[in-house]
Amino acid sequence: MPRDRNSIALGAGKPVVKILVGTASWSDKSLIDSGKFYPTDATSAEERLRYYASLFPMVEVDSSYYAIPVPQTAQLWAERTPRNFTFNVKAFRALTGHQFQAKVLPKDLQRAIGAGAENLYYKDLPAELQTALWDLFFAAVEPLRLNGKLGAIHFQFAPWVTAGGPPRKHVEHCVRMMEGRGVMAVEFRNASWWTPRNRDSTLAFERERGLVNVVVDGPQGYGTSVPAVWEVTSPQLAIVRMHGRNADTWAKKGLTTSSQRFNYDYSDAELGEIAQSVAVLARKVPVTHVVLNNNYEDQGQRNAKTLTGLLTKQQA
Amino acid sequence: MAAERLRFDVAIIGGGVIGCSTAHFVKRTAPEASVAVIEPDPSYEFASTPRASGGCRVQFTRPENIAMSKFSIEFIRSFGTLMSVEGHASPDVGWIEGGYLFIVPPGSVEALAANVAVQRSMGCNVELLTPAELKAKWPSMNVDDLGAGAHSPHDGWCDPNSLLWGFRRKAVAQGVVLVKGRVQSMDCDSTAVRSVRLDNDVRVAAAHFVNAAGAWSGEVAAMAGMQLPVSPMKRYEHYFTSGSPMESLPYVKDLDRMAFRSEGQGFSGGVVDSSATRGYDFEVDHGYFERVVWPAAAHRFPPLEAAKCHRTWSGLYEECELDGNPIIGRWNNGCANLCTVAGFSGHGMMHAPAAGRAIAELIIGGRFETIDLAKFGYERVENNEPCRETGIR
Repeated sequence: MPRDRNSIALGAGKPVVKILVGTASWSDKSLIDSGKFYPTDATSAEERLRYYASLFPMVEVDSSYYAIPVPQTAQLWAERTPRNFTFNVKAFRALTGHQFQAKVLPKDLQRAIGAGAENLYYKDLPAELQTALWDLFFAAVEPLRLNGKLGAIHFQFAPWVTAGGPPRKHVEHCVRMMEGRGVMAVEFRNASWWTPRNRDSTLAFERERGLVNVVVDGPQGYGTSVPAVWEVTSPQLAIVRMHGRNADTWAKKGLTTSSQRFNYDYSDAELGEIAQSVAVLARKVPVTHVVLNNNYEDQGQRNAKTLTGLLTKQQA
Repeated sequence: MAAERLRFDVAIIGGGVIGCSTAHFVKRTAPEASVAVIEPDPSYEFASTPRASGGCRVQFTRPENIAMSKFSIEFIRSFGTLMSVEGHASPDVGWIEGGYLFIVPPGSVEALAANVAVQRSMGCNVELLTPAELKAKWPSMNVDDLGAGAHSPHDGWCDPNSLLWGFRRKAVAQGVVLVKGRVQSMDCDSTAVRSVRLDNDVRVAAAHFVNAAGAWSGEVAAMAGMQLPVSPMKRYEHYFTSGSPMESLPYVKDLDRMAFRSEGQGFSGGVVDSSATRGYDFEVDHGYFERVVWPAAAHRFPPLEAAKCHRTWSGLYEECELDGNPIIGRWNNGCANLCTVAGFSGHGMMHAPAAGRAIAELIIGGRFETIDLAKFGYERVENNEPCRETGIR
């Protein structure tokens, strides 16, 4: 077997475990405009993805959170990346309990929902339109799955999705809809899931359903802050997602881009600590993904590169 | 004049749906590999694929076949997207999710139920129906002599010719080279096939060879000194209409190898004659429908008493004489760079996506990665260990 490019193999003995480090998105405006990552001749979407994939073994698709891509786009992603490249795909925002606008949907669904409708919520849609949204989303990721390049579907639930009541029922509903469709990763943004009283039951909830517990590294002390819970809940995959630690912007309203919220450059010392925790986590599961979501200019890519180096050195 | 010499990383013998699928998957897995498909007749006049009936089903009993079907059906459903080529319209294979229905007499109900349990354990949607439930769903059906039916509603059929051309066009767009010619001899040493010579004096050398020659694969294997128990076996397909109105049907199959389905306003299918003389015979016996197919179909669906056959055509099964299952793998004890993907015995089109992917995995990665097809390897032929389906084939 040829060795996977850019992935880090841990330990000489068996079982083989792999750590894939990548970033959330490869085409953020701030990243492209900075001119700090892509070569000047990588001017098209294709060239950028090919370049990104020559350096990293995985990426998280974030555009799918804002609008469900057409399957042809996902097919092109699959065709433009190396054999063992992995895409995690962020679930469409309606599915994670966020509000959305009809205008991001295909015309037939817009008509069915009511063109121009804003501040829509999944729970307010009739069942057949809810199903239509899932079908549309599954059709979008199907080419990645059939090309063997789909990692996890990443559900970053809305901050108001709490550990109890109807919000919890919505999470359970998502789990049922995802049955047989792929690996489901969950990132909770409401602290109620991780209170000392609920922590164990949340982990049990994830383990029983084979969900990937997303370990979140982010600023602490806000309503939407969640602790980093370094636990493995899926038999096949662990995910660590790093949002930066910018306490000034984390909960700030009115920011126009995510790169403003996630503007943070991890220091080498911080990355060193994280690398140690990742290495420990990675020994419990065959594959671990580390996703850098600090996406101001090339911070994520630079930090991902440094982290890859630290992890490789650790294993040498 | 010196013979033309070509050299590739992978040379695939046979440009039907299996060969083109394999070529596509090899390029998908290793875009840098040079790949050739050698096909004597690029118009496919006598090839099996365009003459096939197009059915795709999860109703098998070997886990390997079920897993191949599951992947292939998903793949065929998304075929237009997966095989899209920039600047061309997406191929449309006309997938129809008409379902499959296996029907058995009372004495075989237990076996059918066991088969359904296997399929369900692998996540397939298959429902066991009583004769009364069958009658309720398909009122034209005579259920008097039936014990049960197994219905898989998400199975279906597509247009085999479009599937073949979709794979072929995509493979060419990926850089696969089509070489016209019939393989006439192989230059082998004790461990490998070095090159093949074609009837037009072209010699093709390659690091890996794939025998995807379908009904002709036994002959191709023999050129390397390999005994492949795959024979050409004639099968008729008939298009017929009912004289009386009746409902649409899923792909109905029984233990006597009757198999037909709705096609437009009529029906398409036939009765496989497992005892058909082996050989490259395309002659159509126009009495076969009246003698064999019509009595069986009309017994099961009495409105077909007035059936009218509009067209009969013949095609070749690549029949695996050992056990009716394909041979997929390397010739490990002979020329190890020769992979076989043949002997599908009527299931080649439906398993083309999974089989092509399997061979690509074997050549590029050295092992089956997604579906373990080791049991379908050539070793079972060498050891004379048949690996059969149980029940309806």
